[in-house]
Amino acid sequence: MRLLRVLEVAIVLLLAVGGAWVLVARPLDDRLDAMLPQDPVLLQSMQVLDDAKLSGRVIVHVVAADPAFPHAEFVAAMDRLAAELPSPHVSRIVTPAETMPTPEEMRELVKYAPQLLGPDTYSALEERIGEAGIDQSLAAIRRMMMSPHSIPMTEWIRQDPLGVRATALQPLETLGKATGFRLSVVDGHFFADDQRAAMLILETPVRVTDHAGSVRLMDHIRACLDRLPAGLTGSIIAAHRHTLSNQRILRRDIGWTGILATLFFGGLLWIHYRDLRSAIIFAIPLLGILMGLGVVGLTGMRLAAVVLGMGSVLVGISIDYGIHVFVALKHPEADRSREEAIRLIRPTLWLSALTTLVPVLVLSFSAIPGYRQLGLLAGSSLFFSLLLAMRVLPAFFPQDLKAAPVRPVPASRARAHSPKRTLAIYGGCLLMAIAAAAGIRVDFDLARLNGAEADVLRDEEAFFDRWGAGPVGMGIVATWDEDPEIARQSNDAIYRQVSAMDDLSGALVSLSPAIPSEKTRRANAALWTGFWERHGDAVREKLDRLAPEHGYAERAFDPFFETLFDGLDPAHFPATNRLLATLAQPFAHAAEDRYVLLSFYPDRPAANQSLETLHDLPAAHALVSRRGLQGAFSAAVLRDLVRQLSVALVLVAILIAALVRRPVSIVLVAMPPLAGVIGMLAGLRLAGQPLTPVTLLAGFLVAGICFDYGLFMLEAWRRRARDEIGRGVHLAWLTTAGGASLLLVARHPVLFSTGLALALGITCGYLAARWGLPSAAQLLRIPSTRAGESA
Amino acid sequence: MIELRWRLLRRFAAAGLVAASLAVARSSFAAETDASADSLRAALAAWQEGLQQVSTISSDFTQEKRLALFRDPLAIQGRLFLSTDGRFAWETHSPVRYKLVVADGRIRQWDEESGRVQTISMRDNPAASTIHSQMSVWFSGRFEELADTYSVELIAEQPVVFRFRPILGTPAADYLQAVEVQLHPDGHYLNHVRIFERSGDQTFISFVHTVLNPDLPDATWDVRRIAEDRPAPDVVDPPSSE
Repeated sequence: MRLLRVLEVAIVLLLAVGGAWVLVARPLDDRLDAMLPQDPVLLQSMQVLDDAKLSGRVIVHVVAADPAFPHAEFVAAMDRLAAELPSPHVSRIVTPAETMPTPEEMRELVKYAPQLLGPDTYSALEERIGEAGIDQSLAAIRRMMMSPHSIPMTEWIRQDPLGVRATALQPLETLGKATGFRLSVVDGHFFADDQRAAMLILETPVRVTDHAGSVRLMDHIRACLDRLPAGLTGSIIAAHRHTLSNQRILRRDIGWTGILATLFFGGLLWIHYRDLRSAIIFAIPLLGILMGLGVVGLTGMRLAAVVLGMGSVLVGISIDYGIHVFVALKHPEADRSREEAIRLIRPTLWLSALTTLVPVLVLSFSAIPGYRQLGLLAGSSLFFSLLLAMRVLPAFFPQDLKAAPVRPVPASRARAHSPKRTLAIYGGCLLMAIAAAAGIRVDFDLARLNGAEADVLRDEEAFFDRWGAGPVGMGIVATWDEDPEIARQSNDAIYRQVSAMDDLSGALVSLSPAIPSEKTRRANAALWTGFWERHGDAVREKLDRLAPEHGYAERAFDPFFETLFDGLDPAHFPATNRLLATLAQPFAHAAEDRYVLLSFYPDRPAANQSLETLHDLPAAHALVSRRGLQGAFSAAVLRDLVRQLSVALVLVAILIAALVRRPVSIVLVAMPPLAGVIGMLAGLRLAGQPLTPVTLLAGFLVAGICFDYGLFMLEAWRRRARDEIGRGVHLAWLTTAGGASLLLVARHPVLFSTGLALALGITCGYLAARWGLPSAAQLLRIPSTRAGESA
Repeated sequence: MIELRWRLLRRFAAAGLVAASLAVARSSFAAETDASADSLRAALAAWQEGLQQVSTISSDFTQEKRLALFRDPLAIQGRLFLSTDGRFAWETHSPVRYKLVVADGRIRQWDEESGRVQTISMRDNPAASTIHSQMSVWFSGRFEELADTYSVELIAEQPVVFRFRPILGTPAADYLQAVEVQLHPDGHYLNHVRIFERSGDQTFISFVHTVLNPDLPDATWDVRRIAEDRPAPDVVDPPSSE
């Protein structure tokens, strides 16, 4: 026994120390990813978004409040800002100037134009090399040469009088503008259409999940923005702000709820019992949670901040066991030993624990990491709290316990209590609640998990209102392969197929026209060769005939024919050309084991539907619609929760049926959870709150906790100990609902909605347990015997 | 398609000239000997002094382009206007009617054939910006603005002729060989400008009826308003120096 005791203490200490280490030494996971299902489709979509590195960019948004703010001053301020921003935290500033080529770059690109011209351009080319087309070109060139800045163009004109090679470079212009925003390039900067706002797009090596780096990055940018002249205000649009904001809010909430929970539980227990030993009741769940954190630490999971934020709820649930044990020891119905008191209550305690533990532990098998963590933490905390309650509390009571005096029920209360009336009220309330709950709105929007502060959301709303949705409004078609050539061939195939779609023709922004695969370039080069072999002589004849009429010299366009078949070798292509490399950045990414190519399209349901028909691609591909992500998320969460709920219900039903046995008793025990869940849904609806993945999870806990109330109140009825056990249930409700209500001061939406749902549900379940169940038991004539009495 | 090529070619020229302004280190004007350096400095100083009191300039011009592209030289008549507050207007009357106005950091151009006004910023079209600033330098004598990209020598004193050569490595050196500027005998303003391109093409601009400090009406800077044509002056071909 002594050895067992030592072993018990050692395990408690080990787990408690482990839990403390998880809290103190390991950083919390502030990402919202913990609340996303590990669904293959979702994971793939998140990977594509990560490949697109869209979340790594930072936008600095500068606005002139006064429409009359001088444009020249605005441009000068933007120039200064662009000069001050580069730092270790800002690796690059994306500017319009980056897409301006040097003469060498243009010469290089123009040379390889034949490899870029696809089959669909040759019909327009045929028109251009006709008599009228050539005549028009010659007249236009002559006019162009009259302008004062035509001097650098002569060489170009002679090599490409018909603008054929220039046509091949047109996709480069489209790529350079493919930001998805409504903007103009003015004086070297991105300006909004109304010219009252400008932006700089920054690339940063600081990852969104790097808290310290994000703080330094934001501080640096804000310091630069503080130096803007009066009349200009700057704001930052970045995922880093969301991360920092979420973290600030969560940590504040955890801190505040922790303090309030301590005051609340400590004060409540003291007021209720006026017994210093009641402090142990509070200490038990704290130690239980610490040990639960130790178990989480053993699994290697990084604890999600959102899960820790529900600490006050866990305390409120776990504290119930200590309360019931305390009641059994402090107010026994008859004189008995403390061991006997524990023995009598143990079955009910275990059954109560199991009805809560089972649904909670089922969460440990969820596809959502946050739910798994919550299930493991809550389940182990509850388990340890139960054991600690049964092992530790009795030590603080004398061996022999004296019966608590029976308090007679006042006659007025006895006469006033009418079970039929009580049940009628219960039934009526239940029906009204069902009616109210039926209209609840379901909202599985990912944004609901975001606890970003109001100023972050306000800045973003103002930005997107002015500039359009940008990349956020664009869907992504991704294709990848370990061989870059195969990935490019797949990208080309996607471009060809989408160009043939009526509703998407011209809408896909793709790298394919600018940097096609070698296979495509080879085919294009063959087309060019064939075309000019067929038409070259005729074009020369026309130029020789028409050019003199416009005053051109006899050999004016010899350079065109001399270089006509240059740049045809597909093995030689300027892939490292600075301009191409710069323009390709948003579209091409070399990951560890694959080369990824992205194309962007307007994210609309009709477009998504059309793109589902992409077929016969040489590489893997995926469609990522941000709007579609919400649907995918909802479906994945629902699937997971339905699976968990079904398993939990079946297990709990089996458990209760096995242990409670009598069908009537099962019905009685089911009254509080039924009232609790329906009451929760009705309450949320009346409060204008939708049903979210978080409140759905709260429903799990409500059902489990209210089962406990039902079990204890049935036990109270059977043992005719309504007052004693009823007080325990009352206090259990107070602590659990109180603990949940503390979350109503939380600013994070996940914590707030959890607290609201739990408080509403548990209260409705408690009311049903306290008054509805005994009335039903009375009407159904369930046997009731006090200790020492005959049945 | 013509517009596309024009746009792309402008970018080509623009990029080159932007790169030039960033890439080239400052250098002083070259001089072959100490004596010629003194003459150069004196001639430049005289030129600058002569223009100190000038705030506006208007001048007719005849531009002759001898390009390998064309059988015969292209002859263009027009008028230019310049103000030391940064405004510049270039009109052509024959053979096409065209106007370009540079003001407030913007370039606006109009041609009779399209009838459209195109507006671009100087920053987004450095080619035109550079040409405008070169013109401004020639008429204002603020040649120190070209010190980073050109070397200058005095090749004749009566009349004064300066030769500006783009410094090797600048994008202008890619297509320009030299620009020769001949002053009016009184040394106050330009008489001729001759542009020699590396391809062998040449442009010769002759300025006549130059008026210093004219009163320029607001219509001067209206890109849609072209002054009445005047008879084209005779072109006087200066001695070839290349």
